[in-house]
Amino acid sequence: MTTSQDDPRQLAVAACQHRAGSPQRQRYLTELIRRVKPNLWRDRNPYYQDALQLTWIYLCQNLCEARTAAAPYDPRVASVATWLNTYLKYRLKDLEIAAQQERRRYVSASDRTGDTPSVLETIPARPDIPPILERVQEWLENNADEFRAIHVTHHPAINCYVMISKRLPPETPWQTLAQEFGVSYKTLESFYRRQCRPRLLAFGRAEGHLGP
Amino acid sequence: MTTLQQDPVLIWPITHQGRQTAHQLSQRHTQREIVERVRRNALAVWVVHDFLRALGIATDPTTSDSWNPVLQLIEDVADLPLPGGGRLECRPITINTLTDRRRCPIPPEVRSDRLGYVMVVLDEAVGEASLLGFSAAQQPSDIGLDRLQAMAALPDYLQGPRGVTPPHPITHLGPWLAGQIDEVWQSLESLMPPSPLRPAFRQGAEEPPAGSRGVRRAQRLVLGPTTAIILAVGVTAGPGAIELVIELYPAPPETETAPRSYLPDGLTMKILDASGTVVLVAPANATDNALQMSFTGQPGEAFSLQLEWRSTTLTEQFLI
Repeated sequence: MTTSQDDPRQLAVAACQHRAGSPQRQRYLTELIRRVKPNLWRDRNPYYQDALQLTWIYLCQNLCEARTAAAPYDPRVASVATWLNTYLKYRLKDLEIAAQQERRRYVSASDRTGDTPSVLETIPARPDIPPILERVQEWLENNADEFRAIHVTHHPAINCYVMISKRLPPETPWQTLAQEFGVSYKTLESFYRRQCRPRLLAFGRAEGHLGP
Repeated sequence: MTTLQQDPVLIWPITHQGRQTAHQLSQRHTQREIVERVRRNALAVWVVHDFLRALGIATDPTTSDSWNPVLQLIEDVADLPLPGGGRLECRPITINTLTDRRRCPIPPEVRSDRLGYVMVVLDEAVGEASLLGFSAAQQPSDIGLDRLQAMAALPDYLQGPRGVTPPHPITHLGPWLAGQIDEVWQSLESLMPPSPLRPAFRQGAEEPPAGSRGVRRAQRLVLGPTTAIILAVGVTAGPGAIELVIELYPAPPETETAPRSYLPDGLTMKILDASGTVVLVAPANATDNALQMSFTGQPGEAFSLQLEWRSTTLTEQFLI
């Protein structure tokens, strides 16, 4: 690979020879991001990473066609890094201002040092939901008869109730289970995947709606 | 095409939203190892989601298994569903273990049903992730970090033709008549979809009529991210020849519990002889709920069964 192929400006020109949304364009965009990142402005702003994510989106949307910018990138005017740094610094400023406004809203003693308030502390406390493990165990017991009835052909002891129980923490490794039951790991895993897992999945989806 | 690790490696930011989301997901659990596992897996998934989003490929992590609180408890899963179907597994690697080993172990529960594996090194102290690359390996037990494809090649891979399946071993049908059947072939009844209340049997799925000395076994084959079929092969020793019956039934995907009534539209089944010549063809219509082919052969003959659906071709090889 020659240096010119690595040069961000060359990568930008190459990217724009391909249609927006095409895998070829996306290939060059990825290479461009990889190559230009070390050249970008860097500071200790706590929202730096958020600003960077916005910057990459800006790059992908405005390198060739101006989707959100006034004009697309022009390689004759500036390097890619210079072009992006302008945008990046504006975003850093925006995010800093937004963070200050957040801070004023959630006043606490520790914030006077100017530290970034922990976003996590500002999340209102969740109502009391039993931990997932308890919920699964309860569900398992409520459906014990049905799950015991679903088993590997000719092996009623290898049923979904037992499988799920053994896989819950502290989980029994697959190979140990295979030895215990005297069948191959493949048979066991295939049975679990086809018959037991879909039920776990469905229950988990219902539980997921209860979450934060 | 594999490339050595690039310099500089592709670095991607870990955003506030990613950290917050991962933390919230992990707080559903109380076991320390699971809290940590869920958090890291979600972070890795989120970073890849952010990367694809910048490129204009919209993904939705919230529909993934890795977001499912019950599956999080039982599986070490970090999947990201893709808009066109299929999932990427996004394995997190902690930065300080990177120098120790160059292979990343893949948990058994995520070795199937994955288009590929993206290796994500999380450096949470700095707030960045390194996207080392991806592997298109199928059923890997571990993945070598020095043999990854560049992330730049991922869009091509995701949007290119899929459906290249690993070669299946040859199924020897003769021994079936003596009761020697490999475990991957199950009885047809055990594969038919269970009803929510109790196991239900489809009409026509009974064993071959009493009195015949035939054996029938079936396998569930995955054609696409939400599409599977059940392939049943019946072998009977007839006068002077072996009689074979191949049947196809629709099967529910693993993510639904309601059975489908019809075979996938556009599905074609072909029987090829040992030289690769097509000897039988059967296309499935959208209103077919089963497909059947019968033919005879001699012990020692080889044939293959090809199932074509959209861009996927599955081949099963047999020896009578």
